[in-house]
Order: sequence, then C-alpha cells, then structure tokens
Amino acid sequence: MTTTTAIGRPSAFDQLAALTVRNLRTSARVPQLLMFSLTMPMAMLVLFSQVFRSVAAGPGFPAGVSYIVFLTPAMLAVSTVMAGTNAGVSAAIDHTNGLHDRFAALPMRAALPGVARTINEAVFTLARAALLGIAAVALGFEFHGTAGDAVAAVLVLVVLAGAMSALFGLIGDRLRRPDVVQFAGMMVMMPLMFVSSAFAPIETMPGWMQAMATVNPVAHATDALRGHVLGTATAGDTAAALAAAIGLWALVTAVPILTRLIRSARGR
Amino acid sequence: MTTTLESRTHAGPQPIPEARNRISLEQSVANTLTMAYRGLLKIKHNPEQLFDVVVQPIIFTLMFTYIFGGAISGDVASYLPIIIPGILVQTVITTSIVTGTQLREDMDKGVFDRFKSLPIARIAPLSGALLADVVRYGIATTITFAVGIAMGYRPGGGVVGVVSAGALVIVCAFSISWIFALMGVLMSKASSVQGISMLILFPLTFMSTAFVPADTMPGWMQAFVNVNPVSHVVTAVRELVNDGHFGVHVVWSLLGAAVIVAIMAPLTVRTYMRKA
Repeated sequence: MTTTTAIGRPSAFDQLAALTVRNLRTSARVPQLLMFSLTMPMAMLVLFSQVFRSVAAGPGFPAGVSYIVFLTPAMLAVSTVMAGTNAGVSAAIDHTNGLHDRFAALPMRAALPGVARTINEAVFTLARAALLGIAAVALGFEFHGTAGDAVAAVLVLVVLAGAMSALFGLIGDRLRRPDVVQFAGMMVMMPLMFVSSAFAPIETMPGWMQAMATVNPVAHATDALRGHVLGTATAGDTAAALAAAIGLWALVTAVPILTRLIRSARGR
Repeated sequence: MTTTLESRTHAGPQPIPEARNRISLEQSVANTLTMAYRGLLKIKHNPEQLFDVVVQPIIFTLMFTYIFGGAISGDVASYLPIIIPGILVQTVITTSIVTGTQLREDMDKGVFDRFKSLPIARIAPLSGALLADVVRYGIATTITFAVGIAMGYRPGGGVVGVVSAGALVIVCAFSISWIFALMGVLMSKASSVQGISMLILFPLTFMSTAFVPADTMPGWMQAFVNVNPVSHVVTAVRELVNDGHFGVHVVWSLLGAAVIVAIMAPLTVRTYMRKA
C-alpha cells in the first residue's frame, strides 16, 4: 500500500525568507569580500576626512561645521552606492552559475529573488552604517539631530540601498558577465558618487555639474542625511530624497516588466 | 625508366646539439618580446580590455578636478597643475593592477602550464605579459594629458617635460606591476588579487601629494606622506611637467623602480616556477 502525501506549496513569505537566508549565507561565505565591503567605506572616511579637510577652509563650506561632520552622512550614502555594485556582480555570478535558470523553473514569483537581494542589501547597509558611525565618532563626529532625525536618516538610507540594489541588480541581470558588470558598475557608480555635494559643497562646482546633481538620487540622499545629522533637515528634504530614490527604484523595476510585456506581445 | 638518387652520406654520425640548462640573455629578450607580442594580440582581439585605461582617466580627471578644484584651489585653472600629475600617477599605477588579475586568469586557464613545458626563458611569460601592459600605461598617460589640456591645462615644462614625465610614470608602473604579478602568482582567485591590490593602493595613492599639498594634512599623516614612494613619483612628475626640472625626486623614483624590479622579478619567477 502506498501513501501519497500532498505537500502544499510554501507561501510567498516562506520563499522570500529562504531566498533572503540564502543571500545572507552567500555573502558570509566570502569573508574577504564581506570585510572589503564593510571596511572600505571606513577606510575612505578616515582617509578623505584627513586628506581633503582643507575643503572646510574653502568657499561655500557651511560655517561652524567640521569636515568630518560634513563627510560622514555623505559616506553613508556613498558606501550604499559602492555596495550596490557588489550586488550587481553577485547577480551576474548567479547568472553565470545557472541559478536564475533554476529559479525560473521553480514555482515562485519572478520578483522574489530581486526582493531578497534588496533585503540583503538593507541588512548590510545598516551594518555598514553602524561601523561607519563608530569610526566617525572616533574621528570627532557629533550628531546634532533629534531621535526623529535619526529614524528619518535610516529610512532614507534603506530606501537608497533598495534603489541601488535594484539598479545594479538590473545591470548584473542584463550584462551577466561579472567582469563586464564590475566595469559598467564603476561607470555608473562614479557619477552617482561624485556629482553631488558628498565631498565638497555643490556651489563650488561648475553649472553643468550642479544641474546633474538635481536629478541624482545620491545627491538628494546626501543632502537629506546631512540635514538630519546637523538637525537642519526639513520634511521637504526627506521627501525629495525618498522621492528620488523611489523614482529610480520604480523606473528600474519597470524595465524588466516592460521587456517581458513587449516580448509576450511580439510572441502572439 | 629508373631514377637513381644520389645518397649524400656524411663521414661520421650527425652531432646532437648539446642540451643546455641556461638560456642566453639574447634568447631571453627574444622570448620576452614574443610573449609581449602575444599580450598585444590579446588586446587586439579583445579591445574591451582597454575600456578601463580609456574611460578611467577621463572620469577621474573630470571628477576630481571639478569637485575639488573650486573647493581646494578656489578655481579649476589653478588646481590643474596640482591635479593632472597626481591623477596621471594614480591612474597609471591603478591600471597596473590589471597585470596581476590577468596573469591569474591566464594561469587558471592552464596556458602557463604549456609555457613551462616549452624551451624558453622562465621569465619570458611573466616579463612578456608585463611588457605588453606598457601599451596600456601609454594609452592612460596620453589620455590623461589630453583631457587635462582640453580642460585648459598648459604644462610649463613643454614637450620634453611632458614626454619625460610620461616615460617616468610608465617605468614606475612597469616596476610596480611586478608586485601585482607576484600577487597574481601567489593568490588563488583573480578577484582576490584585485581586492587586495586595491586595498594596498588606495591608501598609498590618497595618502600622498597627488591631490592636495602635504601641509594641509594632519601631522601624523604628513609623516607618512613624506616617505610614501607615490609622493616622490608625483612630485617628480609635477616638477617635470610644470617646470621641466629633472630634480632629486626623479632620481629617487627611478632608483625605487630599479630596486622593486631587482627584488620582485626574481621572486615572482621563483614563485611562478614553484606554484604555477
């Protein structure tokens, strides 16, 4: 006599949890890469805060603000962008290893691997922020905002991490070769990082750069984070940062959906 | 009709060429040039390999000049004589990391196992690959100067100063590439070579006089900046490009390059023969 047991399909939440755990394990299994992504922003903070501290004496720099206080919120945003490139490379490696072909054959929603990747990025973003905060305090950083400012700053940071994860994940999914993705990621990362007020006041830069910064989500996030750190941020600053990041996220998420719709329409 | 072939027989048996365990310097150079040609063919067949040396100098020069020009020097024009030599050194030296990663990738493919079985100089596969990368350094140097000039930079040292500075940077990058070649031979993954190389180069390039004068930095950092070999190269390049001056920093840079090659080349070859 044979007994057949009907096993119910796991819920979307269970599938997402499994994928998230898998992503976190994968990150933890390459300790060199993990340490590199966690410590590189700290190294940049230490170096840049000392090497470029003469920027604080230059024109357009906010009065009464030390360069470490000016730089720390920017480094939080910049480290999120840098981590995004790693997410793109990871996505490409997954493609190379045939993991996405396996996912495609599984009875689960196509969006879940991307969501899991975003959660993974959010977790590491918070870990990096904590480490950066410790390093910054050791260098003389002081937080001038309120508890509400701290919560808003974390929200901006997590949403930015999601947008960057989606952007670089899309690059990884499209290009699929880790070396090519790394280079393409660098090309996207550099303008996002530098065409902003991250390292120097935007007023000291040429007009075309200032114009580009107005549509750069990292620039908006940097300004909002800096405002929250200094306790001078308005609801408008936070809203602008969130809107820019969510806008980019929505745009990037729409690309694969539109591609699928166009392909299916052509197939009919 | 029969045709008779005249058999030419020698009086004695044919002498067998003597097996030699050493290869002459002339032969080593010839082998190296052949391997360098192989490296150039790789670039020819995969021109995307040149993307980094073409795009990186443009992006770095534009970004650093426009971001820090106004903030550090008041305006871009007065920052160009400081930043262009600094960016040049940083870009070309960073480009030399690729030598180590490509070497590791080649070794993973097993092509170096073939080279080891050939009757060629042991140093040739390594020195050839490194020599081919000199082309990459040349491209990066040319583009950095071109972007600088397009932005309004006018080197006071003239053509001689610019060419001398370019040659100095290329020589220094070639010598440093031996360090990354050793890493390529020692490490098991190309990504590890790249990651650790960047971790070493990042402080060396930023804790130097490449971007800002040393006197604007804190005391503890100035102590390191003043003994940092990258600072010597940057100062030497700055003197050559801006003043056409062949100073003591040029001598130190060339001496340092010679010492690195003298130590790292034999060490890399020995490690390669043992591990590859």
